[in-house]
Amino acid sequence: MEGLREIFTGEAQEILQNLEPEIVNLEETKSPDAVNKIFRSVHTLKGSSGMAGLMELSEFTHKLENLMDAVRGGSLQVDGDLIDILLNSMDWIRMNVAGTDKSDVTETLKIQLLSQIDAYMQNGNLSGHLQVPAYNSLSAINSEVIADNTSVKSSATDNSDETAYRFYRIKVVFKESVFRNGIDPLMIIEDLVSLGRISRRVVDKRKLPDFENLDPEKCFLNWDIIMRSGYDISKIEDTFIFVRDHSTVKINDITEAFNAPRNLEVQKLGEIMLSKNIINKQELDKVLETQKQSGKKIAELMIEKGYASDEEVKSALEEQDKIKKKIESSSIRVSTGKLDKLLNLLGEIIIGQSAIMRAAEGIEGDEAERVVSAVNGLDRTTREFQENLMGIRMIPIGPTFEQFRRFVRDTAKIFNKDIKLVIEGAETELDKTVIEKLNDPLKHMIRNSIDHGIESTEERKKSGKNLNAEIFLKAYHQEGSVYVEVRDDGRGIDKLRVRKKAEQLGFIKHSDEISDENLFSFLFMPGFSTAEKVGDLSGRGVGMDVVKTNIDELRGTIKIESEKGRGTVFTIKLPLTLAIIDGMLIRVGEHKYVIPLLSIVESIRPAKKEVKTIKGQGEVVYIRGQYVSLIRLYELFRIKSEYTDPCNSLVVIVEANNGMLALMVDELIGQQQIVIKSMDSELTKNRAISGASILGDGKIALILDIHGLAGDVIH
Amino acid sequence: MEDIKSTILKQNDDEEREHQHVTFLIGDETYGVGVEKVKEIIGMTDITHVPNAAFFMEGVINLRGSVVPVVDLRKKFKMHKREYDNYTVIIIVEVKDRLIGMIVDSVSDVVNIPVSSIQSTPQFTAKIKTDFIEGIGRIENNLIILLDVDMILTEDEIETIETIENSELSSDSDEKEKKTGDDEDQ
Amino acid sequence: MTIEVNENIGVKTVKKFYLELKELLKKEAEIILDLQNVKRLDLSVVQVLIAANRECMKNNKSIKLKSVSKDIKRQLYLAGFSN
Repeated sequence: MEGLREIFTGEAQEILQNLEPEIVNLEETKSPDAVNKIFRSVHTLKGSSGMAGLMELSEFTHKLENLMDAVRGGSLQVDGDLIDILLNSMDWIRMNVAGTDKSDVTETLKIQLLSQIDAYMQNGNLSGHLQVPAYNSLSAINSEVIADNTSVKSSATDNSDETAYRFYRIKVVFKESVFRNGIDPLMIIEDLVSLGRISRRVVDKRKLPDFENLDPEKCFLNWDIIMRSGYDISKIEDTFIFVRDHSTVKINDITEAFNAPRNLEVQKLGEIMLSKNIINKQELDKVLETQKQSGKKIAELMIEKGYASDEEVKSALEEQDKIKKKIESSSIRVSTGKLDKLLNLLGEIIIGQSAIMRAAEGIEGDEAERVVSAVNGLDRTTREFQENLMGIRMIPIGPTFEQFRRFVRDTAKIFNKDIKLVIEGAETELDKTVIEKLNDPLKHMIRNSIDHGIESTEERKKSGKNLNAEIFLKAYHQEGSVYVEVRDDGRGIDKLRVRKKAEQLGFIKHSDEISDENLFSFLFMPGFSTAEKVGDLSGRGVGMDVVKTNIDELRGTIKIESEKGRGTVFTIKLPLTLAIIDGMLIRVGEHKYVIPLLSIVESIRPAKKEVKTIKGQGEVVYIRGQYVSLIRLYELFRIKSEYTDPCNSLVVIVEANNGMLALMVDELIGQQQIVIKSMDSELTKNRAISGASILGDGKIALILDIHGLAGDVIH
Repeated sequence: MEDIKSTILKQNDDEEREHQHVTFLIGDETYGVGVEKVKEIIGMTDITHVPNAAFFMEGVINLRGSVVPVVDLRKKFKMHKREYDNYTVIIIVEVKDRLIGMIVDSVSDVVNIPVSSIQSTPQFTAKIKTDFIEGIGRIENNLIILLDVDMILTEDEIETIETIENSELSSDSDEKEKKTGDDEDQ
Repeated sequence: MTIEVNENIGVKTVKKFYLELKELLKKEAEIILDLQNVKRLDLSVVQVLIAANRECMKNNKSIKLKSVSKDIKRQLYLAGFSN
C-alpha cells in the first residue's frame, strides 16, 4: 500500500502543478478546452486516490468531478466563485496529499468547500454560457481532431467515398504514468493497427533513458504512425477512448495531402473564374470532379468542356499570377527558418575568421601584422553583422509583460490583495524564442509573489506599509546579457525557515555557514517548496524548480535577493542569443570539449590532501570549505586522457542544478565565442552533451551539458 | 577541406520506369541506396567521437558547417572491422529530414535499375537482416541489395534465435508484409 | 546463459525483471531470454529490452531472444524493434 501511495503523491503533485495555471487560465479565457483539461485532471485524481486507498480524497475529488462535469455540460457557468472554489479545493487537496497536517484548519476548509460545491451545483446559473458547439466546429476546421471529442468528424471524411481507403497520421504521446493505470500502450497500438495497414511507423525512443537509469514502471515511448484504413476517422479515435486521460492523441486525415498537392492552386483558379462569372458553381464542381479522376489541368478541362474560352482562361490565369505577385511584393514576412540559416552562415564566417587568425600566427614580420589588423577589422564587421541579424529576431518584451496585468489583477483578487503591476523597460528586446519560453517561468514567479511575497492587506496595515502592494516587472540590457527582474515589496523570504528546511532535507548541516544567495538557491530544488503546508514560506510551492529548469534551458541563470519586510527580487540573466555562447575550450586526451562559461566557477589544480573518497559520495575535491564531487571525464566518456591523477591535471569547478561539480580535464585551451550546432538526432542523443561546435581548424568540439552531466553522475 | 573530394549527385527528375541507385561495396557484396536519399559522397574525414553513443555510431563530422552523425555500416551489420583506406567513403543520406553519414568500403556507381527487376524482400541469404532490405535489384548477373536507410539508421534490433516452430514462420512467403501490419482481415 | 522468462511477465513484475536483468548483465556477456511460455509482452517489458539491448551493444555484450512467437515478433516491431 505504501508504494502505491508514494506513486500517487508524486502524480498528484504533478497534476496539481499543472492544474492551477489552468484554473487561472479558465477564468481569463472561459475556454471549454480549459474546462475539459481540469475535468480530466480531477477525474484522474479521483481514480488514483481511490486506488491508493485515500478514501477521503477520493470522495472529495468525486464531488469536484461532478462539479466540473456540470460545467463541462454547460449547465454551470464559469465565474469568480467557481474559480475560488476550484483554487481552494486545490489547496485542500495539496494539504491532504502532503498528509502532514490533519489540523482543524484543513477539516474546516473541507467542510466549507463541500458545502460550497453543493450550493453551487444546486443554485448555479443554468443558462449554459459555455458554447460547446463553437468548440466542435473549430476542431472540424482544423481537421486536426484530438481524440477527446469523440463526436467530432473531420470534414474530409464526410465527403469521402465510403469504400475508399483513407490515410491517417496518428501521433500518440502517452503519459509516463500510464502503466500505473493498468494500461498497456502496446495493446492500444495493436488495436489501432488492426484497423488497417501501416504505411509507416516511427517509434520515438528519444526519451528512453539509459538502461542504468531506467525506471521500468514508466512509459517513455511515443508513436507516429501513418496508416491506411477503410474505417472512418471516428473509428480510429475510438481506439484511444480508454486512454483519454493518459495520453495526447492527434489524428489527422492526410489522404488529401497524400493524393493531390495541386489542389490548392486549382481551387484558386476556379474561384477567380467563378467571381468573374465566367463559369457557375455547378460547372466548377463538375470540372473539379473530373479533374480528380483524370488528373488533367483545370484550365484545359474548362476549355475542353466548353465552359470558358481560351482567352477567358488566359486572363484568369494572368489574374492568378497578379495575385501571387501582389502577395509576394507587399509582404516581407521571413520565416524564422531562413533567419536561422543566415545565422548558421554567419557562424561559418566566424569559424573561418578564427582559422585565418590561427594561420596568421604562423607568419613572420610585417605581413602578419597586416593580416591580423585586416582580420580584426573583419571581426568588427562580423560582430556588427551578428548584432543586426540578431536584431531581426528580436522583439520587445513589452507585450509579454503587458499580458500579466490581467493575470495580476485576477490573481490578486483571488487572494484578496490589492496589487498593482509596474512595468519597466518594455522596449527591451529579446530573441523571439527566448521570449516565448520566458512566459511560463514569469507567470510562476509573479504568482509566487502575489501568493507568498505580498502580505495580506491587514498585515501590511500593521507593519505600516502602503496598502497598495506593487509588483515590478523590469527588463534591461547589461554587458551583453539581458536581465529580467520580478520584484515585489512584500514580506520577503524568511531565511531562518529556508535554512531549517534545508537542514531538514540534509542539504546543509546546522553548523554550516552559507551566503543568502546560496541559501535561497535551495528554493529551486525539486520538492523543496512543495513539501510545506500553505501559509509557510513556500506554501503553494508553484514549482520554483520548474522555473529554474525553464531558465536553464535558455542557458540563463536566476538568483533571489530578499530582505525581510522589504520584499524579494528574482533576477534572471539571459544570453542575448541562443545560438552563440561564450565557452571555455578544454582538452581531455585528444578530445576537445566546450564548457559554457556561464557554468564555470573556477579552475584549480588540487593538492593531494584535497582529493579524497567519501563514503556515499565517491571521489571529492575539497574546495573553499566544501566537498565537491569529482568527475573524471575520461572515465565517464570512456576515452583516453593524458593524466589520471587529478593533482597533475586540472579540475574545472562548474555549477549544476544541485550544487557544484569538479570536472577533471587535461588542459584549458582558452575562452572563445562558440556557435552552437544542435545534435538532437536520435543517434546522437546524449544527456551529457548539449550540442556541438565547429572550431577554427574545422574540427568539432562537443558542448558539455552540465545539468545533464550532473544527472548522469548522480544515480 | 581540400582533402575532401566531393561528388554532388544530381537528382534525376525524369519519370522513368527505372529507379536510380547509388551502389557501394561492403565486403564482397554490393548494396544500393535510392539516389533521392543520397545528398553527397565525401572522402574519409576527421570524425569526432561522441561519448556513450549507440554501438554503430562512429561519431560526428563537420560537413561544411553542419554537424552530421556518422555510422559505420560494418558495425551496424556486425561485420568484422576493417581499417579505413583511400577507398573508404562516407555517403551522406537524408533520413527523416536529417542528414546522416554512412561509412562504406567503397562507392561503385550510380545505376539504373528497372523497377520491374526489383524483387521485394525475397528469401535471400544476405548477411544482414531482411528488415533493412527494401528489395533486391538485378543488373545482368549482379545482385544489388537495396537498403532501406530509414530502418537501418534508426531502428533498434534484437537478435532472435529461431526455433523449429519459428523457422516455419519465417519461411512464409511474404515476411515484410506481415511485419508491416497488414491485418485487414483479422 | 539462458533464462526462461516467466509467463506472467508484465508491468506488475517488470521492476523485478529489470533488476534481475541488471544484475545478470554485470556478470554475463551473453544472455538468452527464452520466451517459450510467454504469450505477449507489454510495453514496459519491451522498453526494458530496448534499453538493455542498447546497453549491451555499447559494452560488446549481447541479449538474444529465443522461442519468439509470431505475436511477440509483431509486438516487438510495433514497439520499435526491427526484427
